[in-house]
Amino acid sequence: MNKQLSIKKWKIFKLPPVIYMLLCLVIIFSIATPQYLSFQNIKNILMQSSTLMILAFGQTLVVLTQGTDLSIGAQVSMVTVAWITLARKGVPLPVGAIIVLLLTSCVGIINGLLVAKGKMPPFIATFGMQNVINSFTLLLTAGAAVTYSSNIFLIITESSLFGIKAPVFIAAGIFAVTWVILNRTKFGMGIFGLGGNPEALALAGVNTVKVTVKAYAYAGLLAGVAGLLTACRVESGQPTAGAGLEFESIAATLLGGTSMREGRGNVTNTIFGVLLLSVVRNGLNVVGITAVYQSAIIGIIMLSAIIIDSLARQSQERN
Amino acid sequence: MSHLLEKTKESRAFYSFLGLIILVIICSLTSSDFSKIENYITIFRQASVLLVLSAGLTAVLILGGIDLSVGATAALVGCTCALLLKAGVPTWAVITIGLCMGAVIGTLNGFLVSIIRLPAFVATYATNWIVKGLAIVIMNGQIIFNLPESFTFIGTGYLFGQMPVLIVIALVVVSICYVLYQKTTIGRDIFSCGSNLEAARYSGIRVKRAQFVAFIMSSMFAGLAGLLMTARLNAAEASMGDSYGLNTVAAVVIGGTSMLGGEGGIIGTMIGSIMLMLITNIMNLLGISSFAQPMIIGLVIIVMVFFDSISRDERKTVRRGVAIPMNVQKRKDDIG
Amino acid sequence: MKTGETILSVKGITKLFPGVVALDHVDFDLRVGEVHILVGENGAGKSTLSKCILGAYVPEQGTITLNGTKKSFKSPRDALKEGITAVYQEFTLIPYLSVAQNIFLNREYRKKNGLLDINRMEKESRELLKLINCEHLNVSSHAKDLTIAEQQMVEIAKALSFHPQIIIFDEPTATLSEREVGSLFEQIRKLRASGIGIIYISHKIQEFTQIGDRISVFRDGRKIATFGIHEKSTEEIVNMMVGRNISQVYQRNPNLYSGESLRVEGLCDYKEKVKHADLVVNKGEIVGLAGLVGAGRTELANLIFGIDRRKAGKVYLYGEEVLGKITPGKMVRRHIGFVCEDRKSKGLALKDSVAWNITAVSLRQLFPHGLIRYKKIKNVAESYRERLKIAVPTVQRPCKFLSGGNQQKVVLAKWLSAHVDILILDEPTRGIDMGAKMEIYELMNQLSLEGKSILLISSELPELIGMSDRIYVVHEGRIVHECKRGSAEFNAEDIGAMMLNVYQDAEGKAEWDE
Repeated sequence: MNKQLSIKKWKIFKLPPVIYMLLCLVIIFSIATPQYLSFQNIKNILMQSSTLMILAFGQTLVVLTQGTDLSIGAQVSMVTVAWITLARKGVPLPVGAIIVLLLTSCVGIINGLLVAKGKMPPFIATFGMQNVINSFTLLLTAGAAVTYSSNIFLIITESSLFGIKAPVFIAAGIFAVTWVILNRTKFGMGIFGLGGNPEALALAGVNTVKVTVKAYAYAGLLAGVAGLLTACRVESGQPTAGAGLEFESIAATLLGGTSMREGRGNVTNTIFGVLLLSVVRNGLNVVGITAVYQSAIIGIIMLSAIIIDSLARQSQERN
Repeated sequence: MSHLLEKTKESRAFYSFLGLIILVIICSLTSSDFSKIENYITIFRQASVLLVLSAGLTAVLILGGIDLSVGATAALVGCTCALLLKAGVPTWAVITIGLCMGAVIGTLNGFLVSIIRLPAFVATYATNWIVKGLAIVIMNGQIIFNLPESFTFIGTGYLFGQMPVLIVIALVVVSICYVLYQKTTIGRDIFSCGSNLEAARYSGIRVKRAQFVAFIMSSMFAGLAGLLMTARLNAAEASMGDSYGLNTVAAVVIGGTSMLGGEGGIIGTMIGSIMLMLITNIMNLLGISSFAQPMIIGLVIIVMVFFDSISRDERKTVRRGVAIPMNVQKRKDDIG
Repeated sequence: MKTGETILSVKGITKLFPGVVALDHVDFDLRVGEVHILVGENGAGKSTLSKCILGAYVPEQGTITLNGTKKSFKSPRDALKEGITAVYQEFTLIPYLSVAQNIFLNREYRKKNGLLDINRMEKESRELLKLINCEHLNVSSHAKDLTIAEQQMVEIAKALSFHPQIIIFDEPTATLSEREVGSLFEQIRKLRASGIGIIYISHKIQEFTQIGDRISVFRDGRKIATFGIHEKSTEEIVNMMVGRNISQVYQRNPNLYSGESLRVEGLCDYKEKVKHADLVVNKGEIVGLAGLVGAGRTELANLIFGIDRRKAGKVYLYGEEVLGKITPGKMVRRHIGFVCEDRKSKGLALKDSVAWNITAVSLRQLFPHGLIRYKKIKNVAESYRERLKIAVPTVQRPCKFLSGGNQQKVVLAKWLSAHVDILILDEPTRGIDMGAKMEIYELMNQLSLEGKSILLISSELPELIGMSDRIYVVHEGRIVHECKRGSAEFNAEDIGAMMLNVYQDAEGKAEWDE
């Protein structure tokens, strides 16, 4: 009994495989290029990963409820285009931001209702939604990118503290909020319950539909925030700005050890999943691999990581 | 007799057929250009490519899975083959290579789903990404034109005077799939796995083999569709499969194949493909922006799956949507 | 209230399920500070009664009186408000929440800022756990990191947090080791001493004298008797549980085949549910596997059929070892069939037609070249519909519309059409009516006359004794006894005692496994 407990204290054995993979990659890249581990580059990696980080936190909540949200990438695109379009129409940027955040939250609520009330498989409901949103985005500007210039963009992306830029702090703040939601609220308990033992949750009298809808709405809200940050960075609205981000966020979440079936996972490890993807992308840039090759290479590395992770877990469970 | 048995399997296709007829009537009434013979032939040729692309996907959906990589597979195969043709490789060899590439991608999908046990949509989303990336790599941003006539013949030629080769190929594919899904033991295994995977396992059905077969079929037919696309357009580019990702799923689902597995068939997919192309066609004729089309198709998918899901047996939905809670098995036994 | 006063009394309760009278005018009472044991076979009505008291079922007739006032509970929440709670055999904990969060699920304490008051929940959880001597449990660790016994203690703490008057324990010891049972009983005694009325549902007869004050015996939805724990001997209780006229229902004719068909040697699994099982089934023989729920019988069958992976051990068919990985596909090709316990989720594809289900296994035998002819499928299905008298207008009807008995016949037809030589039957008559039951027994006799072997798993002792030529008794994953038809111990009392591992043979010597 006591011995068991003392072994459990050695948490190092329970670290998710993603951390080892992350370490390996960092070592490989820093051997390949000496300036890889420079402060400047680490700052770059953090900066580049902030958007995906925010998305992945929302995705983590959804995945914990045994769901998936394939529409958040499309929501990011929509937010950039809608926000900029509103601004061009004369709506002040802060007001526009609130409008688009409400919009993505509503999309999330619809997703949640389709899944919880309509009993649809989550991936198909959100896949359908992804296309509806993409279509809407294209219709807004007839498929073109729209630009707008404002100091606010620069203030948000470029202001920095101790050399670290604002988006990183925003991502950190959202991490803190998400962590509190998961670990210190009733809603968070509901999310773990939905994933781990939905029958027990319902038996205790918790409204499972409400929990599901809130989870998807939160993912939508964060997609909105990520979209706003993206728009600030590119100072324009791009109909394809978020393409593929939904998959990267799922990959990051899975790599962070969040399970699609048993309500296991936490938002802290998702950070490592995101960092893994960012390190790969950044490393390819630093090593000098052209953009043409990157998509395929990132895909292969992502898939290999998911396979390694899945196999490692299967063997862990067997012992 | 055999009719009746098939009917239970294809009854949803019957409703799709009714829908098709109504759609044709509505279309004819809304647009005078619609009823022209040339327009019909255009629709059927477009539908042929979509049908071939969704033919194998039908098997994956019957199995209870999903394949999101068909569009990218078609693009990669189309591009590779265009490059090979330009390099002077004979047409028959190119077609063989294209189909083999499809089979390889399908094997990868099957491996990820049945051996690694990834959820089908995660696995095929990942392959979609990789395959698309490979297509970008080999094309390096260029577009290839002017392919040899011996190859473009399969996309633009005519047989027996008036019959487009494309449509003949689509019909052959439909026949093959019909026999395979409805008339063979392996097809039946795929249905059994989709109806109740556990029961299939307890009946000694080789579940993994069925999964491999379905995913390989899906990718092989996607490869064939890539060849047809390239031949029809007489051109290839890396992004040519992008718009098909959604349409294939829609075609299969509109045709009455259930997202939840165990029900459906190729006849339904044929009707679904034609319906989808009718919708696209009439939207074009009415001047609706092509940007709006994914929205309508996405909504159609959501609505179809929504009704399919709520009409399902409660138990089944619970099992698929949400995990079986710990030790609930025993609770049921107490009632007996 | 004082000890000995009646806290709960139930009068004339009747509960109907489609086709079954689950409870038939049952009277029952519970006193303050007593442990009242409910005992009976599966389906005897004890769990249904407890669910009526808990408000999970609403009975058709009868009254429930609590502390002298009549109550009618519409949901478990109503009962909970009155202080009636339960500790289920299956756990209601959420694996990745902490112990404290699980105890206060949906009754969380919150701070003024709306966030969870983790400290307060943990403090109160510690106090609750202290009440049952479990202060060593870490209230902030995840529920899934606890052992089963510890999870059970958390369940009890959760039950106590409602300040209950009555706690119902539903087979709490089914998955506990002997030592863990000891400490559980200690807690139950403490609860009893504090004036809580306890209803205790169990199969294990050796527990009764350790923990119980009174016993009520249930059979076929009726209460047979209630008496003090020391008024009747164990044998008498077993007799009451199983007592019915066995000879009319079960007719087993011995037959003349010889030679072994299935042999299992030293079979173990990874979950330690099956420990070194050895057994032999001969041609034309029906061999029973007796044991309590959770003793490892189904797990053993799953191992033999290749559903689960074996850790060690060998399986021989007709003297020949099955080499390599055992898979269901391989076993089917060697003509072994498995009618599993859970008909609906594992036995049938409910939305597929009867014809497809019947030919699911035999498809490859019927059409070795891979091309299906519907007419042949229909003919095969029709022939089995007639042979097994499956009541269905057409074989194209989906299985979900069939009654339990007919569904079970479809499952049997599925294996018969594949011409299996060895058939494993796991609870083949659960949840089906008497007529269908007798037809299945008749079929078993026929099969054995044709020289086929049957391995029968059943929780109904009369069925096992009535149909088997030989019985292996399984206890905690081990085969502890083997008895032949005609031997002195081949009767319900003795085998019942063997299942509980309290059997004493003619010399009065206790046989303990460990």
